[in-house]
Amino acid sequence: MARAVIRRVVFGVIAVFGVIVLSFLLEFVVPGDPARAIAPRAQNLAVLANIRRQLHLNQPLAVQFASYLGNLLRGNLGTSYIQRQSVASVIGPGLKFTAALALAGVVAEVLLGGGLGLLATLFPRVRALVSAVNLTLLAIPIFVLGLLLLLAFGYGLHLAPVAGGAGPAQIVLPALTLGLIGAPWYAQIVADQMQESIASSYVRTAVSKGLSDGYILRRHVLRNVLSPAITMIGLDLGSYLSGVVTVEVVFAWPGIGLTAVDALQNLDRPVVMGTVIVGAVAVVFFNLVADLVRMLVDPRTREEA
Amino acid sequence: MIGFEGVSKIYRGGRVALDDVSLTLPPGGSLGLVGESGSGKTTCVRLALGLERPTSGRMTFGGAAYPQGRRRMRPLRRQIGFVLQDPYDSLDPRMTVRDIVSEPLRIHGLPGGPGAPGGRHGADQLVAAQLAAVGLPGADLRSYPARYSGGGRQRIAIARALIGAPAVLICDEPTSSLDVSVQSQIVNLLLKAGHERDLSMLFVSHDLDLIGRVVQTVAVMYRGCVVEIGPADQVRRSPRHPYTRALHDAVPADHPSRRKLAAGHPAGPAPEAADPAAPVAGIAAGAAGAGAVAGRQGCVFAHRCPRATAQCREERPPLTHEGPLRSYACFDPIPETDFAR
Amino acid sequence: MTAAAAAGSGPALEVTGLDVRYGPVHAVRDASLTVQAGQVVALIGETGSGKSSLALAAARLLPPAAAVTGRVAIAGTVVSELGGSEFRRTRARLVGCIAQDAMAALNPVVPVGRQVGELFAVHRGASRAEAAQAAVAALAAVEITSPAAVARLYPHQLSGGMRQRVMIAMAVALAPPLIVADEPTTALDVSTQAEILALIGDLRTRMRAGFLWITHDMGVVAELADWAAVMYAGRIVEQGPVQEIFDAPAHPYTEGLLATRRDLRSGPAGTPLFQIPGSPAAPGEVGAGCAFAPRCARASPVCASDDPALDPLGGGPDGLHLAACHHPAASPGAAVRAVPR
Repeated sequence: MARAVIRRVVFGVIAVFGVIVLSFLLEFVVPGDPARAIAPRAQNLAVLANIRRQLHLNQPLAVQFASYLGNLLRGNLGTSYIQRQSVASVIGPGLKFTAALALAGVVAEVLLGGGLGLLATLFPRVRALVSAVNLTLLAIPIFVLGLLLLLAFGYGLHLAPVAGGAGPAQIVLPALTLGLIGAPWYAQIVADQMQESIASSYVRTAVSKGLSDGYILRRHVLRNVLSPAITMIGLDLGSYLSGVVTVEVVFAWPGIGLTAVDALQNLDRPVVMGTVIVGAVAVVFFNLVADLVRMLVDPRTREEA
Repeated sequence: MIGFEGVSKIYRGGRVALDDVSLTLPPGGSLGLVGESGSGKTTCVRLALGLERPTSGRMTFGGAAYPQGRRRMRPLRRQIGFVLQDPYDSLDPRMTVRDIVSEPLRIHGLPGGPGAPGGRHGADQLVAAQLAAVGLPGADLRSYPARYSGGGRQRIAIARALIGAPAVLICDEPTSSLDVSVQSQIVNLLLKAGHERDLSMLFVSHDLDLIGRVVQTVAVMYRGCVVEIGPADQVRRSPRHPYTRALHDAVPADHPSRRKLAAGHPAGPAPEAADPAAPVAGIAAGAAGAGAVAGRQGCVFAHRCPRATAQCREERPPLTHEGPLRSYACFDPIPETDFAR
Repeated sequence: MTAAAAAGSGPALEVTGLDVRYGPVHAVRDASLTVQAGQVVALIGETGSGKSSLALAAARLLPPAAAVTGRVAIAGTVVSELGGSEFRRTRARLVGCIAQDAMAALNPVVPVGRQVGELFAVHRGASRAEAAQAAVAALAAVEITSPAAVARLYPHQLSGGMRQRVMIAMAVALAPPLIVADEPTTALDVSTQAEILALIGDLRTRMRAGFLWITHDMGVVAELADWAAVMYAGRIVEQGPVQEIFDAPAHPYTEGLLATRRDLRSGPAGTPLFQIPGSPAAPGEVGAGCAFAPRCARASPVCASDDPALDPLGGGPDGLHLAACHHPAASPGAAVRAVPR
């Protein structure tokens, strides 16, 4: 099993490296001159040339990349072109808020989706209704849902704050939005796995042993349902940590998604790359954690041939 | 027709599927492979079909080595028809009976396939003729496999196997998933087809009795090795290798008055402690040279054999030949007997 | 019902007039069967015979969609009249079940020791430690060497034979008066089957339970059974003491099954196998008259119109030998003529 873990870590590192290379190269495809971005009103070409030299922009690609990589490994993400501070200090605060929202969003979608799935399985008559709800949630674009919730609960019912900020009261609506959008996936997984489990031979064995329905559900069925759910949670945490831009924009949630969009518009290359790297690392990391947890829960996934 | 010459097959992770196996299927003859799970008989089928290549040793078809590469395997594949175990898995549920049975014609560009004289209509006639030959006359060509029982599906599979007029028919446990009363029908069908078309037949089964009734020569396999081989009647009635004897003894009684298994402890081989198909530590993939796979010491049956000696555990017994068709791999074979039935 | 029967003694299983329907499909028709304490009753049949439905109905393990009518009594308790949760509380003490596919029937993510221990924890109020100990003892009782180590393993880490032993351990753990076994050895290698049969032979001398053993293998019947019941298309078509069933089968289907096995085991090599023509009737396909008539060499016009009742034959040596046939075999060994194909 250790071998499987190590292999995953190695592939993860390779994946992150690949992302770094790709986004580095991408910057050179995007139109726009970083020197201009830094000094938009400079008239003197010499000033611009000076800036370029300072930023090592006139050196060959490989050299630039190597120096960037070197800095990265030392924990230095570079300096923002626009804000004259380290990229880390630009991204840092946003990261905290995005992390909080990601966590809240995942909790919401697991609870909502899991609940829907359970309902559909245990009460067959409600199944059609649950399907309809799922379909609706899947169909709604995320920003529409966010805006609707904001309008309804914020402006309409005055139940939620609308002025921005990032406290516990303000996290409710954006987390709920994420939760509702992600719920159908979990509902489907839970419903499918539970159906399969209940019809399975080992549940029949459990019934023949005279175990109660509740006991069977808790001890025998749920463990088998966890496995695919854990994989999805890992994926979601990773992707949300890359910045759920739409939700952050709608609710003015000060996360790194917003930071990334600003940086892109301002051609603030170091910050963009910083957010990309943070996102890649988050995805890889949480996928790895999800895999490990799954191996703990489901012994069949432990030994890799 | 098909030859295995010192073939070994080791999968990644060290699982030894075949260990220095030499077998011959003569043209027009029939060879049966008997073994339980982990014996390697299915691997033999896969090698014979060209689905995999041996780790060492040589596979021959019609005297020449199996070619490399899919394109060069094509003409060879046309000459091999096969019927596999699971009738519910081996037919594509989305294809009509007509498409299933005529598929070999399309793949190999044979007469009766599209583009050939007669075109589609010609194929239909061929398909109908084949289905009649396997006992499904008047079957609806547009029906789907779901309509048929296990036995019916195997008949469709047999029709598909034979439509290309192959030279060889390979059957891997074709009746194991079928009801008892249907098994004999299917086996009889295969035998008839074999005789009528003068096919070479490779028949794989776990049932020693069934094989003994169906083929000329039987090879008994255990954990990747051929432990005994000979004419079917002889191997059944007078097994020389302890494993063959154990297989023979393990078959349940014929009559309640002659109980042997459930009536106390039979003196037989010790049960298999671990999964015989599991990888063995210390064997790297590709480690096989000529001869026995390194890392497997002694006779493969020694750990269960009631007659095993120290020599059996250290040395691999070579094949003792008793005449051109009869051999077994044992230092202390069971003396010749004849089991009265 | 006498006081003794009411007190939990009496036959291990008594089924009277059992009917099982899945919607329009009539899977079991008016079946009556008795298993005495300490007796093994073999329930013989193929696909569509209704044997699994009958056994599952006796253990009340059918899904709610199945409509079950009739009387089922286990060791005197009329379970067909008990409510759902009432039965659930006592069922593990009344009937133990051995499923066919042990890999599917065991929870893949729970160690097997815990799965066995559950029974003691839930039904005997054992603490965690006590249940674990009891589980190890139960595994030892089914002749698993190093039971403590095995108890920690997961089902996929065990061999097929070991898994089946675990299932058996679970079934006999609380020493119920009835054990229902649904083809537990069908999916096993023949030598593994031999071990399991030996184990069962051993267990039955130690236990007083009655066994309802489903199989299609007449050899297993010969090894284990005291009494045999043959099912076809949802009905019991013959039943009686096993010696009589083997020596003097009355129903042509029984004769056919026995002849098939006999021919397989001792027929001359290279000749076609004995076969019963046609395929097993699916339960939905049965019309008026005897379900076996289309396949029967002795069928006459009355067979097509009149479904024969299960009637006793003229006096056997002990117990009742019943057959549902208009033309039961007249003398011992009168076999159906082989229908060549």
